Amino acid sequence: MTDHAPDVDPRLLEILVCPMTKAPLRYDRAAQELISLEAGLAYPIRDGIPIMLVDEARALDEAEKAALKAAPPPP
Amino acid sequence: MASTYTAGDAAAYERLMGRWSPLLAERLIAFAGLEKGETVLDLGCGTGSLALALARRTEPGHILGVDIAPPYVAYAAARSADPRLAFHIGDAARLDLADASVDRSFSLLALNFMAAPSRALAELARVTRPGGTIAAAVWDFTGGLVYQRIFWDTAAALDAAAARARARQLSSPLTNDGELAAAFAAAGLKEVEACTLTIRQAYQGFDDYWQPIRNAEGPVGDYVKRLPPERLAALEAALEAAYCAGGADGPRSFAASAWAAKGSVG
Repeated sequence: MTDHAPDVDPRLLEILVCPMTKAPLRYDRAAQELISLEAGLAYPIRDGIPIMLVDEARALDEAEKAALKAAPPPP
Repeated sequence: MASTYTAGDAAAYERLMGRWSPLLAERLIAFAGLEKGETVLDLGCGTGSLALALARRTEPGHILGVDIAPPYVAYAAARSADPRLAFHIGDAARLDLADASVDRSFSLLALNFMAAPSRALAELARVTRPGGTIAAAVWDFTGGLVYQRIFWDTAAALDAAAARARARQLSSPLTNDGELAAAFAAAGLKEVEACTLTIRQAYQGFDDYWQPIRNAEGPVGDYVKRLPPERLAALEAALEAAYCAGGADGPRSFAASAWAAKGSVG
């Protein structure tokens, strides 16, 4: 992703949830991913368009999951 | 497979159907209503005909378009800079929106192509707030879509494979009398109402009818793309005779009717 990637619509970010668990997501702006800790999945965002398909998501590794659990979710 | 619709080339879709679906979108919005400031969902947004029709109205505060086909979503997202529009890729049967997060939901010419329409309706009922309206329309392939009956009936007279494809198309989920409204009721929606929405498809002449079919997406395209050249030429000649129906080549206007239903979340 370049620095010029369009940002995800803020209203959409508020209401998007993990399609598998329906739990809230964490937005990793730098990586352009939406992260579902419960499902252990990162959904990619391409050109500002979230791709909320389980089959397209990246599986989080154990170190990532541990780091996410340690860090409080952003307000 | 979450959708039975072959969706690859958004521009081809636009030539076949996207030039007509905005007319139907206006009718569906009039049937379903809109109120000021609402967050509105367009499920199965495709190339964005309904979402853009919603954006031409002043009422919606936010318009969310969701579809499973990336080429269509990219096309839709590039069509308008209206800041109220936001598109993303998602699966209707496993929707990615929070409970009761939208005020009103629409689905235009999409539910019948979904692998699990009843799950999609259940997901719409989940994400639409209590008291919110859900409205959908699907083509009446059997009795309402003249341009496509001309195509399938002509092709089926020439080819048993076309007859089988026609049988599949005409038995698509929710597309026969009463099925859409029954699915709404089965999803637990209240005050379900059904109606028929009709537009006119005005063609300039046979070429304007044939070329979009020749390069079609979806079930029509799936059939046409498999034909060897000589069979394709025979089909074209038979279709031209059917289109002209004994008259000179020139403009024709075909009725196109869709089943529509609306209901409210209890």
